[in-house]
Amino acid sequence: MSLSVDGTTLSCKGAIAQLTVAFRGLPPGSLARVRVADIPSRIDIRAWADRHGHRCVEEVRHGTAFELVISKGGDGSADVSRAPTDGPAPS
Amino acid sequence: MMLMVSVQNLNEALEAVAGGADIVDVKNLREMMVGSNFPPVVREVRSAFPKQVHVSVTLGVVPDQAGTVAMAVYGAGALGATSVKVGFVQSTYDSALRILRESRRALEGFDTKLIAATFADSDLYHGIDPRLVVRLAQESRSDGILIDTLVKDGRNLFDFLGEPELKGLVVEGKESGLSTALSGALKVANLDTLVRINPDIVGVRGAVCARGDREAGSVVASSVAALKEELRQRWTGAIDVFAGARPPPQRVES
Repeated sequence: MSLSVDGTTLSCKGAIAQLTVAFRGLPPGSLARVRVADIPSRIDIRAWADRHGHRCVEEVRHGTAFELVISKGGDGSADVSRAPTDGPAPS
Repeated sequence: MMLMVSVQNLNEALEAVAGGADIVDVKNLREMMVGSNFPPVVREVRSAFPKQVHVSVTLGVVPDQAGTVAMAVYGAGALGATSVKVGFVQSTYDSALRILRESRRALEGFDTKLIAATFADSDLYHGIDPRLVVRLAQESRSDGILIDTLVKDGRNLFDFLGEPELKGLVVEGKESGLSTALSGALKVANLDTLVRINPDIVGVRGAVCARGDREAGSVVASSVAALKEELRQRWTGAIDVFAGARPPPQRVES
């Protein structure tokens, strides 16, 4: 695992900002494990990944918290023309 | 997600905080429905609460006069406001940017955050494109964004901007480290969508006022608490925010 972000101690924007910076220097295919505290933060991380062409390759729920593994896609450049999509949380 | 309640006076602020509001937003409904209140009111509200209760000041729709606006922003800083919101309707992008940059300078030395605000229904007033708010905030070194509405005729935020667009703006703002806030006649019925969009701050007034009346009614603590509980149930998954967003199961013809 290239990178680990503990978003449970950060606001949603903190986790996204931290991931954005951290992914910049990594090659496509790099993996980041992200822990977030609640459903809205999980939705945010998935929307952020989708927006930039990254993929969520694993998602595990621990009570109200989530652990996601994001694989960096393409060249990591922003594709802001794509609308973010969200899926339902795994039960 | 923090709950911001718009208040007009100290009594309403006390009700809002008793109900669990994280932020009280001091405004004056008599000035274009989103206008600025008077300094003594802001001072009274600020001094009633410890610093962890955020007290924001709205300047509403500001004129195209950078000096005048910067002075008002300075006033919000001097009064100890947690944040000050500067809203634009009939401003050009360049003019709004200049005003925000001067506002930034006016807040030097204060612990007050600068929030750039646009209005989702700006088209009704031939105003500035509300989607420019993130760029405006980035280029002016503002601390956050707010998208609100001006019309108070029953329509709300989602009548003017859709979920995908708002989600995109919120994520874009968060990537830049901006605080993100949505407001505009929001109701309990909008909470699923709001949690899916997940701004840092959700702003309400009518939804927590007696009889749901944002003008004649006053903020009621029990309504604030009920709304906060509705939000909590969605954060924790007790209420599935995707339930209404999923397509219905397809019928299989035998």
